[in-house]
Amino acid sequence: MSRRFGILALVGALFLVTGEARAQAPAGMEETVRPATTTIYGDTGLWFVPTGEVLRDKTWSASGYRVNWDVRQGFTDISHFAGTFAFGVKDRAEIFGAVRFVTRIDRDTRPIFGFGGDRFGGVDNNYPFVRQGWSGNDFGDVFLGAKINLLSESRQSPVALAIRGMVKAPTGSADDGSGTGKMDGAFDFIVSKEIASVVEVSGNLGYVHRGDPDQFDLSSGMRFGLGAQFPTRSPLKFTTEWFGERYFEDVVTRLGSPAPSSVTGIDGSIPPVTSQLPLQSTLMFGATWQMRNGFFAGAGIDWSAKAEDREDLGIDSDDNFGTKFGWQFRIGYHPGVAGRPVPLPPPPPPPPPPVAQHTLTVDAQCNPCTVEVGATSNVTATAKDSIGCVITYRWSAPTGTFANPVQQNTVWTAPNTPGTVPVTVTGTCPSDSLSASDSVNIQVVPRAVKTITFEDVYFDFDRYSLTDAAQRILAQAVAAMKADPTLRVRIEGHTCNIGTAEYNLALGDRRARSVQQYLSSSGIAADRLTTVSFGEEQPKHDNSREETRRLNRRAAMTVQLIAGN
Amino acid sequence: MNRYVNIGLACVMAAFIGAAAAELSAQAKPAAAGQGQPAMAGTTTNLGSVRIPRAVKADGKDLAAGTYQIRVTETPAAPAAPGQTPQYERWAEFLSGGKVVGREVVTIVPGSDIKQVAEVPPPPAGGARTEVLKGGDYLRLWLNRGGNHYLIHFNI
Repeated sequence: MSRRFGILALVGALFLVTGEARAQAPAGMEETVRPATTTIYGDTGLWFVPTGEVLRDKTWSASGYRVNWDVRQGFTDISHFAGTFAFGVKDRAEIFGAVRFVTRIDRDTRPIFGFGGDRFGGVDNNYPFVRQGWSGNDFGDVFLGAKINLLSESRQSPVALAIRGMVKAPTGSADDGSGTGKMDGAFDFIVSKEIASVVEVSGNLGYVHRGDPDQFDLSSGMRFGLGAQFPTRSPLKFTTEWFGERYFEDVVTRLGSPAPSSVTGIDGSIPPVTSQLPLQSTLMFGATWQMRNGFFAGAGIDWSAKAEDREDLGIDSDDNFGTKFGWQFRIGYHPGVAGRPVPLPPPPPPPPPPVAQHTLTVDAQCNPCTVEVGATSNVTATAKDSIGCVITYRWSAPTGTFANPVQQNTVWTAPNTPGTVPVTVTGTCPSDSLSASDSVNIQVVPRAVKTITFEDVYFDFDRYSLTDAAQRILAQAVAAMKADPTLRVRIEGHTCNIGTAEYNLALGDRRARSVQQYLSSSGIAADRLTTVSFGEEQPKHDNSREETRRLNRRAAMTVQLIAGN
Repeated sequence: MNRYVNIGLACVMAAFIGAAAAELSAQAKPAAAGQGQPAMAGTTTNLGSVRIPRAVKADGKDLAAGTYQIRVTETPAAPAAPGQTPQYERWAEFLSGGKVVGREVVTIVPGSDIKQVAEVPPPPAGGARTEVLKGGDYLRLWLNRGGNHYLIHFNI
């Protein structure tokens, strides 16, 4: 009843602990994994001594062991070929098991029992049913357990601390001597620490409860272990351990009298009622090669301190070595345990902020964009710069002049030659010399000719003499030209279409010259006067009727004014 | 008294001679007109009967060939043309059977100025002449009356 309660308590504790959230590396730290190996029971450990660390979540390990040790009673050599398996649960626990596929026990005393009394001729506490010299290869016991990690160096605890519980399923046959036929239970506290990433030391202390078969009163005990493995991070690592069990009772008591045949040696010898039960203390040294992928293989040797050499008893034997020493071999796979987190490498410096694409555009504008020769246009530049650069400007044009070519806005004076002039502004950012240009075409047009036409002067039919009325009209022209010395007058002579064209052309010329002479005589410089005769070619009025035809007999004075002059 | 009679006879003779000279192209009957008196504004001058040998346009209207009484009115051509002498461009009326059937502006050239104008000898005093100008564009009726020359240019 108490055994079942203990198992349930162990399983409950396992679920309670593993129910917590999976441990995560602290902020700014990076999880690491360090190598680890298994114990002979399958949980994470050195070899025989477990460590406080456990498999990481959902990882597994497996191994095969050949273990051997010696006990005093019967100079017995006990060997197991076992397979182990373990599975990690949420970084906090691992469930493990070991199956002793082969258990072989070699008892050297003859007769089987009785030689050496209760010191050597008794039964062993773990295999009391051994009653022959060689047990043969028998299927042994199966161990199942769970180890719960309470503290872990991966969580920055100074040590790793775990509790381990396991049960022995009595699959070993009592008849063959490979078991007791009773379930055992064990509970351990485990403390371990990896020192300087070089040496991992570990110790365990626990209680082993043994189920008593009907024939024997077996002793439970306090088992212990202390070991070290180094260098932990090297493929080749060495293991040294001291482990054993301090039994609560000094003897194993055979029950029942007389001794049943099931405990009687095959040679008929009868085990003593009590068999001394000394401290089980074993020293072990081994070497393991573990690859980076977790596979490992190792070999070791153990020395059972309380086993005694036959030489010490005066017994000549060729196998004195085997009474104290045993060979250990193992092969397996362990993916490692969570190591102490290391600070995350400093994050790479943030990429430099993207260099702002420097864009610069310049827009040139003119007002007005059509100017007369020699006139001015206001030219302005508008820049758009992506980095707020203070833009410098330079204006250029193939012709014309700028009031200030390096100002953003300036005045451009058109040349005296009409045409299209591209006016270009170039904006430059001094910081990186990025520049942009824009051009605007300014149309330079000739100055507008303003025409002022004085009142026509009419002539009588076929005449070119000036009447008083004509002279009064011309006097107005004289006054205007005197008022504005820049005025220049072209005098056009016209006729009606009566008469030949040649005649009329000459008549028109005479009329124009008549006006010219009058103006000249009135003080107008001759070089300001030009004449032209259109004869009958440009009639201003209808020539089909005399009423209007007469109006074509005229002289017209056209004043050409050049704006700005 | 005899002096005026002589002058009158001379004028009659001159008119007769002129009419006879112009008989080939036109028939004209000299009218009473002041010798050397340019047609003055405000006066009407009867130039007598003149034959127009072919149909023409007078003031843009058709005027059939025929003999017409020509009467120079006191109305100057309009509008005024500064520099021109208003009384030298006046309306003339063509009468047939006592009715005005056409009108046109007549150009009056004083006899003293005719040499400035005419490149050909003018018709004799009291005479008249018609001539086609510019290849048939115009028909000029030239009357010499009272010391003035009356020129009427018809579009043909």
